[in-house]
Amino acid sequence: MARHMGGSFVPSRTNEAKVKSIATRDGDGLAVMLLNQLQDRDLEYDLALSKDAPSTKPLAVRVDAGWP
Amino acid sequence: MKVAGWLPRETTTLLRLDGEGRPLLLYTYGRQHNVENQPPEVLALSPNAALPKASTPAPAAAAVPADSPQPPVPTLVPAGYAGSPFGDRRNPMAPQRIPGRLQCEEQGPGGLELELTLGLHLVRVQFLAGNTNLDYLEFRAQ
Repeated sequence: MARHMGGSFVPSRTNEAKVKSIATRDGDGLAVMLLNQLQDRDLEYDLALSKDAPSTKPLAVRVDAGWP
Repeated sequence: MKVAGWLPRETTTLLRLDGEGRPLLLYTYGRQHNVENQPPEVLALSPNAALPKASTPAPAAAAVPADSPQPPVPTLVPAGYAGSPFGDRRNPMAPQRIPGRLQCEEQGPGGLELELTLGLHLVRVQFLAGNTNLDYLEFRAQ
């Protein structure tokens, strides 16, 4: 998994404190790692790759990838 | 642009996307993978995705007779590593006596005591307070 985390750090955030996100971008694309520390439930999520992408899912992960 | 997905509890998930934001690969690594020392599950989300060589599923374990010796416990500890004694301003840096009680350095609000016998077999785990991550402990049957 770690070999995909290369290139440059890309800012990201989630709306759930128990879910951490880390994103990187290299010449081949984007890699987003999500660490779900919740022990009691799974989560449906939207991974938004642009600032204004709307989400109605319980978990929204926003990555400032610079895509429209 | 967005991608929808499902995030299982207590997992580390890695999503690989191409240069245009299309999902290629999905890695999922859960507690059970850690316990069984297994590689993460890899799912190709695109026909263009190249699966890593290590993602081929592990062969099923063969049946072991009940009286056969226990298989070696998977470990991340380097061969020959004997540990290094702990020391601080109150405790001298010297090997602790085994059999005996091993006291760990307290790194947070919690604490942990381990009782060991010769051969570094774990006998008892006692939580003193708070939460302690047991994922990094190596268990061996006594």
